[in-house]
Amino acid sequence: MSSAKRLALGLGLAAFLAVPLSSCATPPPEDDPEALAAYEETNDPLEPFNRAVFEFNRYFDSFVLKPIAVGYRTIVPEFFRERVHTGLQTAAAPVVFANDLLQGKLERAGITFGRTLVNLVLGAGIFDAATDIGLEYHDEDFGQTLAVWGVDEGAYLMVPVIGPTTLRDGAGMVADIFIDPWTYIFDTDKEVLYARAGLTAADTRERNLETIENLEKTSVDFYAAIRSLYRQHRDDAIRDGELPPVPPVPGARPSVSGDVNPELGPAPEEMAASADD
Amino acid sequence: MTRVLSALARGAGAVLLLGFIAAPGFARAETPESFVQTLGNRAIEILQTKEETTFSEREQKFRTLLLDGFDMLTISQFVLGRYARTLSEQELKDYQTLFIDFVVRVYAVRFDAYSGETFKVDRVLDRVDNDVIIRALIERIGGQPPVRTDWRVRVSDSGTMKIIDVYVEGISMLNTQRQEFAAVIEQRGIQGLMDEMHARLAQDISQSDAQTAVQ
Repeated sequence: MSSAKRLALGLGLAAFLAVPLSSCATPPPEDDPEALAAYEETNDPLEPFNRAVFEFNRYFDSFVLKPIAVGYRTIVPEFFRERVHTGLQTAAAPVVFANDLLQGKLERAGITFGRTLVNLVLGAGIFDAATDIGLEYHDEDFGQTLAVWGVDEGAYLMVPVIGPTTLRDGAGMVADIFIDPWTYIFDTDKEVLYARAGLTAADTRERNLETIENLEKTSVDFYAAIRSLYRQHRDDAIRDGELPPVPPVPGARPSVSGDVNPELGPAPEEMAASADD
Repeated sequence: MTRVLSALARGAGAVLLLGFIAAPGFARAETPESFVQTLGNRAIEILQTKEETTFSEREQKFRTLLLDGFDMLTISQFVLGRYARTLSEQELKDYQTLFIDFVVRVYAVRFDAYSGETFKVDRVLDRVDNDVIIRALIERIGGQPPVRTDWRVRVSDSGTMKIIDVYVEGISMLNTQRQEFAAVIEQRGIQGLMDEMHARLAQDISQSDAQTAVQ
């Protein structure tokens, strides 16, 4: 695909995403600061539209993605699935490396470079020898780079087939395609790129079979659970695993004595006020 | 002979020294680190009996563990956020009883996906007011990278310790639950949330299609 075509595709996608603006969630009135704060925290102005796409994605998942992942696990032994996983990591290393550098994280760039080199030499790119010598894998992408540069995450978006993202991360995903050298190497053999995308999807979904199933089973609002997990997961990736400042959590009873009296909650106003900080 | 004696003396000195160092440790029966480590060990023990126990037996043990180690009242109120104040005393109590059943089920299911891994407290990450945040790693079988967990332990003035939040790979369980609850309450009110919690509890969780399909 030429760059012009790719650009047109991107614009088309953007237009498609912009169309359902009519189905926006209604912001709460200005005089309800708590509701307003909650609305801003959720930052999901397209929620009704996003929920519709989410339902579509769940169908798509149950009829296409999940069966592929289950089949992949059934047919391919774990040993070979591990080789695929490491192979995909090796292939994705240039993008991680570039984003390490773009974020000014030289040490992490060194780790990415080192582990890829070690795995290529000692493991043909499909055996992870680097982890054993302390060169552990980490992920970086242009969405994270934008965040490090100070770009806000923007509204939450549920993209058909692809899944949860935000304006910033969606833009990052497109940018990563341009950063990726394979895009240019296989410019005339697109099948290779599609095969890699397919394998990545199968690999990721297979590794999360139990997690997603348990989450679906135990959440009272699967859409909201995914939205919260996606945000926190991205924040964790952006902070490279550093814990965020913990929110104030008021105690539900006086902590002065060991004597527990469930009747004694905190003053409700006080609790709610700090809970929404 | 003198050599033996001096070795003995040195040994005695070492014992004495160790005694002094260890003494404060004995006086303060428990540190937040040892508290988290003990809870983790108990959790691993439950998982190790997977072969010979049913899910509901494990869920029962897990319930005791949660009630011992977690500040359920604080957690249950926090996850309601600003909606907590709209409840009457009685409604709050009903909600809290339901919340405990719900949380036991939710985390028993999620936790049951693990098997006899080892749980190791790594270090103290942070201290905020009365809270200590402890990082612990769950080592996994088969060369998978360890799972990073952070435990927010609240230490009361009397020295009692209770966990109020757990982060798994940087994701706060408290925060997730609060945001999920808020979404349901906004659409269907607190009663709607409680109905949904009842529905989850009534669900048959013994079957897992992904797990039965393969493995």
